Amino acid sequence: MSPSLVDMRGITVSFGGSIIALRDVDFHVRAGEVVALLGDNGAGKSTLIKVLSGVQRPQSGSIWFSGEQVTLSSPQHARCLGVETVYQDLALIPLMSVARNFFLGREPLRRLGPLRLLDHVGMDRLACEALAGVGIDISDPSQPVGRLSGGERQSIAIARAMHFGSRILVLDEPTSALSIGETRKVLGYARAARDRGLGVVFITHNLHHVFEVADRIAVLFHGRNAGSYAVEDLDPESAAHLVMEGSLPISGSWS
Amino acid sequence: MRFTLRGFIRNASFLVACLTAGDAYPQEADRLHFAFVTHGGPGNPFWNVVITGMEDAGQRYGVDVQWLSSPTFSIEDMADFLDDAIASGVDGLGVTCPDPDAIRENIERARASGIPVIVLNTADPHAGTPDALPTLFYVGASEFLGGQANARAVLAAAGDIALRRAVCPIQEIGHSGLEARLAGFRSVLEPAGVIVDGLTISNDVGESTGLLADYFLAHPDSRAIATLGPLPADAFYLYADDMGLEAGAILHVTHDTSPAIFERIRDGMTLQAIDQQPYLQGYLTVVFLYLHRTLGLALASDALTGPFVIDAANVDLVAGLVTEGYR
Amino acid sequence: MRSQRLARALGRHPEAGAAVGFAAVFAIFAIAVPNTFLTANAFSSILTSQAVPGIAAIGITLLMISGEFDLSVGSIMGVASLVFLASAVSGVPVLLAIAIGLGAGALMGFVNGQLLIRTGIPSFIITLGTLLVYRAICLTSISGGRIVRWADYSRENPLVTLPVPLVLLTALGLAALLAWICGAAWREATTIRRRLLPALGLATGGGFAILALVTLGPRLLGVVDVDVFHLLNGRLHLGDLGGNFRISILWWLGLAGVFSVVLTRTRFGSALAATGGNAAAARAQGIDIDRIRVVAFTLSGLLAALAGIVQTARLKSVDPLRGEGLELEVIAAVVIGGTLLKGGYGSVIGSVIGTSLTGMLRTGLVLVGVPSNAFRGAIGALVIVAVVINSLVRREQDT
Repeated sequence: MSPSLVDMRGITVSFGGSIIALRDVDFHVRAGEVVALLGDNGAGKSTLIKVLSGVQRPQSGSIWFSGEQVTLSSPQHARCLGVETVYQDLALIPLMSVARNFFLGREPLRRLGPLRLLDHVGMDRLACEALAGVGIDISDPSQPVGRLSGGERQSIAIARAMHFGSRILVLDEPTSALSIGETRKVLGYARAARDRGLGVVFITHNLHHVFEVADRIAVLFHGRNAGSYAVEDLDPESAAHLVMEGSLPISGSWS
Repeated sequence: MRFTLRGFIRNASFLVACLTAGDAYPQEADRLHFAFVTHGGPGNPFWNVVITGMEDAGQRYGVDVQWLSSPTFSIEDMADFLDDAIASGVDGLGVTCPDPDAIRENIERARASGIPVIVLNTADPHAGTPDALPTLFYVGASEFLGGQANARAVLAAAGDIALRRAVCPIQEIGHSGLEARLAGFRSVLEPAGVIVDGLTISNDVGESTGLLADYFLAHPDSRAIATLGPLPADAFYLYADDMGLEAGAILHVTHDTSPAIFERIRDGMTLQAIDQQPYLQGYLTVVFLYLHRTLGLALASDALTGPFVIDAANVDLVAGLVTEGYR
Repeated sequence: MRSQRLARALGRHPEAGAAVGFAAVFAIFAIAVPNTFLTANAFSSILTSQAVPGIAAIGITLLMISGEFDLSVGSIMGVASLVFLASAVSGVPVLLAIAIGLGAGALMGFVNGQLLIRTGIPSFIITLGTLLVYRAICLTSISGGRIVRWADYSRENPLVTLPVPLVLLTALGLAALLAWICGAAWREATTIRRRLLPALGLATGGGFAILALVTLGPRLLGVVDVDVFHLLNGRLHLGDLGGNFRISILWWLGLAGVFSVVLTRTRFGSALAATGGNAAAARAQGIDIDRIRVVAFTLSGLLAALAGIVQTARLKSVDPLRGEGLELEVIAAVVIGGTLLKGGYGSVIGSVIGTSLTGMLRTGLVLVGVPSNAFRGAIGALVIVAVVINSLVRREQDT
């Protein structure tokens, strides 16, 4: 088993001292695996992701990246360490072109005499190549993102994360608003990212998608760990029971 | 998607067609065309009379006339409108001179293209010096003399009461004509030992009323006010009514006229108003431009249309002409 | 289908709608009053009157693309003009006075930006407040209802005396810079059409260098008196063409070119559009949106100040109401130019077209013989047409 890309241990987050969102939670992601993070609304999934992406600081607990302990100071810091979070609707800017979205904040520059200008030609070409790499064919990288379908938008964000050497890709509800065909494509992108050696965290409510794509399932229940299982060791019924009740069904079979 | 290019152009042409068909003056090649570029215009009762004078003369003499001004005081817009007027090839210009240096180059260009320029309403402060703008002459009131006449009326009315302080609110800052009225007012009162405060207000009556209230609260010893136009006079009346002032509690004189001013002259709240006969300014400017253009004639001096004093003795006569739009 | 294609084209090029409108209005006036409209006098009147609001509109364009408003731009222009002229008449060297005026404008913009990011109050409200505050600076510092006039202090324009070698080196340096950029563009270009612009730039740079050498070379030990007001906004004498073309037009178009490149070809430009288009997404991509907003406000203030200084060099006076109403004129021009009110999308070139279009409408109506009262109504109608086009574009983008 490959070592963990990130290892979060004993994470506790409370809001205003009284409401405890996460209590002593452990979570880890290895290279080349898709971890589905499950839990009912309010179970603490999004808080855990905020900790991982540097948005929320935990009250206690430690975070280790590739064996080194780190205190995440900001979202930028988390990005530097290779954590890329793709939100359902916040990821892209609808009025900007595919290529400019793809390279936003990290545009390739070319020299023109003393000037350093955006390399639009290079941006278009590289964006096309990177998108082709995850299996999506964008005919015109200069068209605005707003004209693309929801699945295509997700794919751009995923391809972007892979292109810029992210090591951990967090997909927050990537399929919640997509058609069946689109969903299938996005799951394919997640697998493509895993095959390239990234660690993928996949947050969803849809258990069918989990069993299609995940290697491992981690469940949160009322802010606590409710277990982490290889996908072969669970069936959808027991997974649903974990999410709803925080424990496996008594009659369930597991190894 | 219901948008079409054709529709857009159609709408745009419709807009311009409405504006051009409805309002435009016919421009025939043999008719003279004069433009007035001024710092004030429609919406202000004073300027409406000048415009009436201009239009009446235009009709009488068969001349196309055009009024160009922006709704708020703006020297930069005056300069731009002058460029437009020169571009449209006018045969003569009537111009006000609140800030001569700002429009100097435009006036010089007009002169160079053979367009005669008459200054109306607000004189070139450099007139008679080497810095004067190249214009024919001035048709308007002597603001300085008007200010002096008002100051004398205030002193006479004060009589035995010791007058220590007076106020003169200015509604268009930087306007040299208003400055001249203020200077005339000062030139009589200050040697008589009266402090004259300048107070910055605006053409917004409500706002100005508040400023006046604040001023009189801060200076209870101020017993006279010279307003420099009808809107500031309205502001003073509003203040006086709010406070329940009796006629003569604060001595009021004003420049220019309005129905409210006449009414207050009748009831004694206002001592007198200095009229500059704005109708003459619009009318005579067209006449003189016409005579200059057709016969090469020009006055050898300025044509003073004021000060003309309106007080209780002649207010009814004048007011009658106002309703007809000539005052 | 065809209308959809057009809307799509408008989507790619924010300035397309304004360009169509410009052509339409131009054609209407050219047909209605050809004898006066198609003249140097009319063109110069349009360009000269729009150069000053045009410079301010560049800053407002960048700001609106970043999703913010600056209603205080007219007041900033007034204060900066006042600071500049008051410094100059009180004996401060004129170049320093320009720097002080620009600095004042940038500072006021910076304050707007800081207020925005520190309070989180919408910029519409914040700059409505600073509009009044900055205007009060003008009204209180010119006491007693006066105008500050250069002519009251000096009959001559301010001159800066510079040694010839310094001027020559600066001129040659600028020419070399232009040649360097254009040369690089020339080498990169693959088609003749793409080489046209670099070639033009090279020719201009070369001509400029030769002109500087020929005129200044023989007087290498002398000095040059530079008339600063003329440099800022003097009359351009274009041979027999006539008209009132002024140097302010060159400043306007030059700055528009520079900032158009900044907007479309730099990371800063991308960050501006991203901040206005989707602030959360921009932040997620590591863009410091607060910094971007403050920089945009500062730039807007700086350009408003420059507009004011350029205008002051022509009018040679400042009254306390200078620039009043500029904000609405400029925002109207920017919106007509295709920049979205909500931000995220727009173009500097579009704003140049939009500003010219409003000027053309005004001059054209004067030429047709309409009294000036109708002018604002026409601009208003144009704004509404432009916003309708913009919202069609946006609907197309969002679906």
